[in-house]
Amino acid sequence: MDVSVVPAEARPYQGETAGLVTRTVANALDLFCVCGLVVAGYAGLNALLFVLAPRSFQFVSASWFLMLTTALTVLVLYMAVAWALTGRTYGGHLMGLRVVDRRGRRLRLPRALLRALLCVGFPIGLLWCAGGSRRTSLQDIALRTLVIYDWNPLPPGPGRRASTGARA
Amino acid sequence: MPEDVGRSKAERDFLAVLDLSIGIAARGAAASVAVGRGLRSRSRPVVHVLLRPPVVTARLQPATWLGGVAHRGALRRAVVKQRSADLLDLLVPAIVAALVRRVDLTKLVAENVDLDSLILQADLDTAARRLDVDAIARRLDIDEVIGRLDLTEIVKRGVDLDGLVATVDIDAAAARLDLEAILARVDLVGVAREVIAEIDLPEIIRESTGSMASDTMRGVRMQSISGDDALGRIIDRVRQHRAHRDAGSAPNPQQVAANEDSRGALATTSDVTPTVV
Repeated sequence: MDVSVVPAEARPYQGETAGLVTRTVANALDLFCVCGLVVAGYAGLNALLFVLAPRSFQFVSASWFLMLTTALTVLVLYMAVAWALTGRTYGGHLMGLRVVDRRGRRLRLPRALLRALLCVGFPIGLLWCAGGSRRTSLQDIALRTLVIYDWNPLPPGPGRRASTGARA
Repeated sequence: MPEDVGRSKAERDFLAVLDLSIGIAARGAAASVAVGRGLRSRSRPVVHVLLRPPVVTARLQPATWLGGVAHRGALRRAVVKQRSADLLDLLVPAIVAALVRRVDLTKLVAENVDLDSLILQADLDTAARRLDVDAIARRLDIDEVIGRLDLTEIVKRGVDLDGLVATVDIDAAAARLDLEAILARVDLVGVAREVIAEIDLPEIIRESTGSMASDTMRGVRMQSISGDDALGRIIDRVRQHRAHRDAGSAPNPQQVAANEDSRGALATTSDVTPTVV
């Protein structure tokens, strides 16, 4: 008899591919986090400049293009590192999602980076996971990855491989 | 006489006659013995001369002849004695067996033998020393004997268990135990897993430490999963409807089958075997 930290009502869904609603909520949370990171970075940079030269301090002026580019870069790096390290971003952690390959293993950094670039550059590809039994976005199809429900806090690694459900 | 008490007159008369006869016979016998002794002492020289005449050679003397006859008689007596012994060996056991069959020896001994006195006179210690107790013990079926005994009851009545246990050094006995070997034979991890799974420890921990946030997240996650399923079903219906419309009034059987498969896969979401996580 195995012990699971997952509540009984959620156990049947573990390993199943996630649908559009959950993934959209997770992505929105990630976007919100990245915006917070960018704002925190901007505030930190200004604070540093203020500490270094308080008399000549002025708020750093940044164009919208620069801000957007910085935010998207941070978003790509954030998602790539999170998927490569734990398989989930903070939004995915809150929503109980994990990004794995077709064998249920954690992604390596190049693949995670490529997926992050595709997700940020072509976000509408997420809509492909709305219907059908496989629930795979365009990025998933291109890179042979899956986004599954996985409420277990432990990341898949040498000692654990996230199981993938029938929809995969 | 005292032993005549209780006898009838006829018996007493008979006994008186018998005693008289025995007395006369005894007197006669005594007289005969006395006469014989007198005659033997007086006739001894004459008999000696008759048996060993001085003028006759020893081979022709009557004593020599009588000696030979006596020798042959002795041989004959030995033969007769041997035959009698053989005959007695044959007859006595059969006769004794027949007698024993007809006589109640137990009753006879009980009525006529003072067993207590006999036992008191016997040297039982010497007899016990001669016994081969080991041989007797080997013939005993100890298991059967023990099986007939209620050892528990005997121990309860006869043994001071509290006093006995008080003399046992339990600490020393425990120190000699190889607890590691005992524990190595127990699947502690398996037992712990079963106990945790049986009492649903994760659920207890969640409830005991459960915060509003974790409950809220649990609800949000389950709601989003339901939303995924609902959205998937809606999109599948739209696709199916569109496929029917494109195909006219006669839908493509292959498309219908594909859509049915798709719905079936979604409907069986909750039937998936619980995932080991």
